[in-house]
Amino acid sequence: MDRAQIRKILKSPGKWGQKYSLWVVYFCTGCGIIEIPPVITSRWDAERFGVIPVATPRQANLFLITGYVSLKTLGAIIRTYDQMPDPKYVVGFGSCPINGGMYWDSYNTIKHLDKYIPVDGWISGCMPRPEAIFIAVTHLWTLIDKELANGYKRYKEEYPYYEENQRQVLPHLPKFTGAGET
Amino acid sequence: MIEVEEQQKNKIAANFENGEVTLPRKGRLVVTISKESLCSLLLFLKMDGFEHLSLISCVDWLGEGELELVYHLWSYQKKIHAMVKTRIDRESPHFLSIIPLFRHAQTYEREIYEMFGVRFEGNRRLIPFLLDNWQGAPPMRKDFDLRKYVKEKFDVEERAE
Amino acid sequence: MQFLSVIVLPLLAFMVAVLFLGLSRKITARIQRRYGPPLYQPVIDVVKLFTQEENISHGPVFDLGVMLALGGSVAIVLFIPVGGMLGLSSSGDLLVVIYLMLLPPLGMALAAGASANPNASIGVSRKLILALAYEVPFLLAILAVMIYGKTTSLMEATQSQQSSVLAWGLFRLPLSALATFLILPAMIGMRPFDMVTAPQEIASGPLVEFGGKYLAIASLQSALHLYIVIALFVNLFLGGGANAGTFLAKVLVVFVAVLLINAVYPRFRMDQGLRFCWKWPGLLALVGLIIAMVSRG
Repeated sequence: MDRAQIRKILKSPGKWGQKYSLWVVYFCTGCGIIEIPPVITSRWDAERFGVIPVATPRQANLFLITGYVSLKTLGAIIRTYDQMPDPKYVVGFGSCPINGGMYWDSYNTIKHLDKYIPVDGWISGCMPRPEAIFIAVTHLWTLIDKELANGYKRYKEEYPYYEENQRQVLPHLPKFTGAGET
Repeated sequence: MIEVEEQQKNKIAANFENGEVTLPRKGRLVVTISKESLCSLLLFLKMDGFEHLSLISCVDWLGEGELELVYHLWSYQKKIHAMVKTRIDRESPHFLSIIPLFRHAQTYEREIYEMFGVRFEGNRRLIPFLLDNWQGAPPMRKDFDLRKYVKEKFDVEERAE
Repeated sequence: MQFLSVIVLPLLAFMVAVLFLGLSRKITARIQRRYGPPLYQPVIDVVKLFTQEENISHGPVFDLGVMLALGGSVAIVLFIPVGGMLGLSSSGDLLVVIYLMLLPPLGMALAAGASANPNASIGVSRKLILALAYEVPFLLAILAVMIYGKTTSLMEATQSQQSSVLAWGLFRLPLSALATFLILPAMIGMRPFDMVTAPQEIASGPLVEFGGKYLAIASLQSALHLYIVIALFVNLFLGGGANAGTFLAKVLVVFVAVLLINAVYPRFRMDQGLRFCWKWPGLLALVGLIIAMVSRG
């Protein structure tokens, strides 16, 4: 660490913390999850970047949507995303969250993830290689530095837009029907 | 040995006159039979060594107005994969359930009910499990307009063709 | 001087605890043939957790439980002598330490209960069963130390070992020392006894609903607990230390030994853990106690 970096850290320790300690919630969305175990084990070590998988959304601040998102999975993703504490970042992984990918005309998968939860970055590929994942993590660091990774703020401010889209495809979610309240 | 398949074919032809048996290649046996005699043929084959039901699948013949149910059976001893086919009507299709013969057919019949709309009488668990809160027509049928459904439901914009 | 040590001891404990967290991740990474995070990674994690904008609480009992756990651990730290610094050590403090070691699990159990998550209840039940498992040999070993030294003061038990290397508890009470070393991973919560916070099985057990500053406090508390247990072991059986330097060197050696076991072993089931703790360590501690009682009349 050189003097310029130490000055940056002292000016805003919050950003330093958020950048170098991204904890991924280990939610295995679709077929893309097969690329995550090589990334977090010894060969392409993700712990050097501060990225470790955690088991519960309450402890995580990064959500990787890997692979296609069917409607059932979208319900679970929305519930998991709602449980994560701010600030939280979402990265769409693979070509299926971007525009539907290989399942662009399927009756059961969503085509554009940004309509339902706010996404901060996309990684293209089917599946992206581990090196692409690391490049994406460093891009996310730059975005956090410049305060452009504000998907969570967008979610809070434009919640009616997201809620309407969620209601269109998932009208039976418990948060809309009020079921399961204790 | 082609003899095992030949023997099996002769046995089936001897007992069921209205079934047409063909041997496309070694290890495969295809029987086409009417829907009234299907269950007795399945029972006969099960007693004859075909103890394993691998799958039940469905084919939509839109031109002929029929749905074809295919039962895939496997015999461990003879190493023959038998496909037993029958046709049923396409408007309000229904059929008998073969749960008394093979208990695990319940899941395959549930899937065919959800994807093609075929009711199986005797299956008490015809509840959906693949699709979530599905409000449309059975999606695997050939007259299900996929692009139109996707455009309406997910609100996708027109792409430059 | 006493007043100064009351302030210095907790600060020293926090620094050593955070250093140990970073050291454990680095050494584990090197054993697994990869570069790990930098040594100051726990600092980054704690800073991130404290600067999170939203901390989800589950009621006042949740907040109080977490603070109770941390407060209990800091209280125990004040009673453990480090080299020359004695803190609040006086006669009878070994019994006080044993009682105070109940507070952190109680606090975590309160907080986990308040979070109303079934994973948390499973984790808490595992924690209590594990506490039952390791308390038996631990108390027998401490009883042997108290009877042999005819004292209930941690300070006297430490200072009586300072005369020479052969006066260490390791050589005077070898069976009790061996029994305590065998259950050290259970007391700390490292493999093979980390079934309490098993991320793959029960979604982090009691910590499942902890986020933000609560998670920071909980992880600081577990790191402090790590320091407390190893410091207790070093004071009782490895002769304490003439000054803080030798004491911390011994603590580091014991920590690396426990860490090497943690890096290599898989996880026990709950019944296997219980059976292990009561069988050999329990027997060894019992025999050591009988020998201590006999040799001191």
